[in-house]
Amino acid sequence: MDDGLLMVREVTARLESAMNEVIEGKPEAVRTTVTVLLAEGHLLLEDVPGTGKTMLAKTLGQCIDASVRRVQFTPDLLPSDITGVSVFNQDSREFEFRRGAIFANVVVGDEINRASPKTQSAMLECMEEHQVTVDGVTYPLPEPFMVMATQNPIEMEGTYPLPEAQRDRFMARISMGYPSPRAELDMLDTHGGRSPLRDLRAVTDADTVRRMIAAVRSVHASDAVRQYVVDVVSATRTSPELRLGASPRGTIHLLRAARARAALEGRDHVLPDDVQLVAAPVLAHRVILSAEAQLARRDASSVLDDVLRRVRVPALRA
Amino acid sequence: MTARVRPVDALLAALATLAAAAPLRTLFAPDSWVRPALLVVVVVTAVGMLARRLTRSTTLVVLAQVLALVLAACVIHGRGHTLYGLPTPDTVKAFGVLLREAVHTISSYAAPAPATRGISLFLGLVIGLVAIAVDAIAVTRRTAAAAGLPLLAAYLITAANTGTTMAWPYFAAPAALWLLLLGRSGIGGLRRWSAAATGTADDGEGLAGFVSAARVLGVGALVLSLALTPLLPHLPTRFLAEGLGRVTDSGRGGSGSVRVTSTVDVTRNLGSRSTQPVLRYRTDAERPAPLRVDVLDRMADGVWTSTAQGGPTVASAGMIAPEEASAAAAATRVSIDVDRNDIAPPQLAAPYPPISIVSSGGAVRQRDDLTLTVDGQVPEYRVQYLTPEPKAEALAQPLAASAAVGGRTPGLLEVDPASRAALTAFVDDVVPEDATRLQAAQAIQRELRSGPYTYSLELAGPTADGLTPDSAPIRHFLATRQGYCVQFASTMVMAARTLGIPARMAVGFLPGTLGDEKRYTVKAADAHAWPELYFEGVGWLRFEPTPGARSGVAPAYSMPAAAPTAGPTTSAPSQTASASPTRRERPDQETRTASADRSMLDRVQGGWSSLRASGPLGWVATAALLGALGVLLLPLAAVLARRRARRRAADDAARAEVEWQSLVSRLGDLGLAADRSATPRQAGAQLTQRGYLRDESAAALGRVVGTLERARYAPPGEDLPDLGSDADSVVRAVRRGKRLPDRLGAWLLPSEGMQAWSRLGQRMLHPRSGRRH
Repeated sequence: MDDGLLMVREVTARLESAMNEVIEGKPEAVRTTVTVLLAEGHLLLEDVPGTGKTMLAKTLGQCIDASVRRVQFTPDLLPSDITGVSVFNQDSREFEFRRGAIFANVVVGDEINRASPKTQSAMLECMEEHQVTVDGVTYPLPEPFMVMATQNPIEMEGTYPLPEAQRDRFMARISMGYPSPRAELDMLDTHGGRSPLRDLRAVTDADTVRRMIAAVRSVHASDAVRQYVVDVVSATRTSPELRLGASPRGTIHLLRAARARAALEGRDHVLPDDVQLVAAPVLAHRVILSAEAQLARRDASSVLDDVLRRVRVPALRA
Repeated sequence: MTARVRPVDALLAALATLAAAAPLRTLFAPDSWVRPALLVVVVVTAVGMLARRLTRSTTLVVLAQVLALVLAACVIHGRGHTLYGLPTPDTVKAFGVLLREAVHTISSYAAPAPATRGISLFLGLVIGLVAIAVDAIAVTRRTAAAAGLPLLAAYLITAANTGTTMAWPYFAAPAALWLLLLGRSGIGGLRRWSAAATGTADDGEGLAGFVSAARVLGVGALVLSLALTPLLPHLPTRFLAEGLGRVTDSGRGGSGSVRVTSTVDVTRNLGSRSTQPVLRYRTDAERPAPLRVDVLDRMADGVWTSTAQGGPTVASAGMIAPEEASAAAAATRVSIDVDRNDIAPPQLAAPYPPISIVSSGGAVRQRDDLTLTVDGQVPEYRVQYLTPEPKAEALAQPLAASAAVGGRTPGLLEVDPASRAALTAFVDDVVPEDATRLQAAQAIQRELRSGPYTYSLELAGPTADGLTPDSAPIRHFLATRQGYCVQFASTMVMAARTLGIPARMAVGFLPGTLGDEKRYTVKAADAHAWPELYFEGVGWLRFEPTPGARSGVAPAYSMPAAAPTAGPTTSAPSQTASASPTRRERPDQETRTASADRSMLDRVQGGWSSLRASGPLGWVATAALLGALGVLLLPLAAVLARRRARRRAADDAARAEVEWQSLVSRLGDLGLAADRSATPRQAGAQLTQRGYLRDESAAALGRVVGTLERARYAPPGEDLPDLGSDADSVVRAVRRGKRLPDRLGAWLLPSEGMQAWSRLGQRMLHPRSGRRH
């Protein structure tokens, strides 16, 4: 195992254990969050209020010694609040650029579906391109750059749900879900007094994360695994239970997430098992269930499980 | 759908079936069964065409044909036992009776057997089934090559049961029709190729594929024919004519139609092998003796002739009173009753020595060598004769004759000059120094009946030093050690004469086969020749130097006592059981005790001739051997395929993949499978759980899975350990937990072996696709 992967495993282990102290009983959500961070993706947290979406986002930001900004999306939020704006400096008598909320290593976008579509799309463009262009000048965003947006699925009044095209830009979506009774009980102990976030110390810094990302990029994905990724994605497109399958961007994201997942284990190559583990969070928000599947009360994850069961793991071409 | 009717192929298949069944006509008479069988084939073929038009399923087509066959059989053979042509329980009962009758006919009649209603039904069903098989294989499934098997089976029914050589058109006709079918399916295949071909490059490849398929087929056929020829037992030749029986009139049942040539040409290859009945008789003897027709005492230029003088007429029922017979103190008196005699006068067949005759026809004469002759046709007669049972002391005589035999001793001691040297060497080698006359005769007989001498209806060609059967027949026989009864008998006569024992050649018939009502039937093909040696005070005694399966039984006195005191003792005496492997009882079936004594070496040397001689046991052993070979086909193919795949693997990774596939396949044979979509890791976990693997075997499976993962998914160029031993230990561990039938099934029917065979088949059928993968 080379040094980069050794470091990845060691640092992410510290990171996960720190986060797990705050987010009780959700190790899988924590792991997906770290995976998305290392895979240079963005995370969509979708769940009912009060399940710890924002807490997760804030925890990650605090565990990394890096710039963390939080944006509370409201209907009156303007695109320039996100990206920044050029203002006239009376002293120097020229326009200077005031950076918006997006200029940070970790951006927590709370209730993104409350913002107007215009603001949403400004944010999503930054996410895709890792840069901001204002008045013809392009400002690169810092690396690492990760957006964690939360969205509330049940409060529909006055919201602008993300259209499919925009959801596609998030590498993964996770639902926090309710904690187990036991975890909830523990939570009462830890959160009863004061916020556990206050005791949280950063376990890593932006530079280390950058190096980890570089190590993840070097993880080997064999032809067989690439074939498997493509097979899985195309199977979503032909599944009768899905009205819309995953996009080609989904294919790219799936492999990147699988790479990061392999790196988390300290492995220098991707296994089909990695692909399967990340398939549900990476693909579920990109597909649309068919009417029949919806009537049958299926959810995207279970349909994806079926799809995975149908796809054969390719062997070597002997 | 209409294209699937394939009328031309269907017609060819039907014709091929009929052609393959045509030789059955030689087995059954009259031909009353032919027309119903023809009708059945027509029905089956027509129904096949119709069914192919209606359905694509091969099974349904075959089912329809079988149904049609049953209905046709009911309509044709079930008269009075069906309900408007439909089968009822009564029909089943009636068919059961008919089929039992057929089985009885087949097992109790020699060819040609009477074509009873049962036979007619039986043949109709058999031919119908063959027609269905050929039609299904060659036309419905379009694999004409395999249709050769049922055709061959139909042909072999006759070939295995006939006593005669079959005329070549009987084989050529079905073979040609089969080749036509094969050619048509080949052309069909080529057409499909050209339709699929899109460019000139593909055309080239198609041609190359065809050539390679042809090569594979050709080489395969050649190898098989070479490999199988020594393995497969040759069908026993059931004819024994030795060129003696001559069919002078092809008409059946006419009297006086068979004649035995009274001169025997030692140099000639066998010609006539007729199964025409010659004699039918009953006897009170337990083991009838051969029936002598003539005695030949002079040999010149390889031709035996008789110098006997015509004798007096004997009165009907009169005693013949042979001078020697009186001397043979110990003899059993037995008689035969001939009720059908087709031997042309003046010859008359009778065992030797006859003591009285009662005939229904013309006068019987007795020659001075005790041969009986008749003036006119004698359809029925009764002969009493003696079975000599001389005591060993009486036969312990000095070698050289001291007294004349009827004043003609010099002639009876005349040795063929061309072969004298070879015969002297032969007797010096075989006969011990101080042997008595009997011991010498026994030694010669034993030598000729034992391993080195091969019974063959064809004489060998010229030897290296220019000997031919024509120039010096006995020398040639001693050099090539191959011949039939005439050569064996002549050699024994000449060898005895070389030693000074008066000897002569007897020709006649073997006792024939026992049929219904304790009647023996002698066919022209039962003609035989044997030597007679003279013992003073006892008379002429029959010996039997021709190897067991193809001759009469050696008389008791001609075999040494249990512990031979003289002669080479390297191997036990080889008076092997004599029955040729027919299902009919032969009168000359004698004790088989001696055959058990034969050493393994003898068996190997004797080869198939000893197999033939060893009776049903030998055939069972052969069948078992072939069966064992057949059973081994799949396991062997699996091992070879695995080895080949391992050898062809380009690198460690490919090798690991091969091992994994083989492991999965072998575990699958044992009923242990992982999900189809499982990753190696999941498959490993599932197999561990489902196979109850623990400790070492679980760890071994873990190592296999780990190596496979690295082989498949890790960056290439890594050195991977060999998985063979770990995979084997996993398979062993799983096998231990299985019941014996499952283990046996997994071993006998490995899917790897089946895949290997089906790949081979695919490559032959579709060489192009085979080349691509």
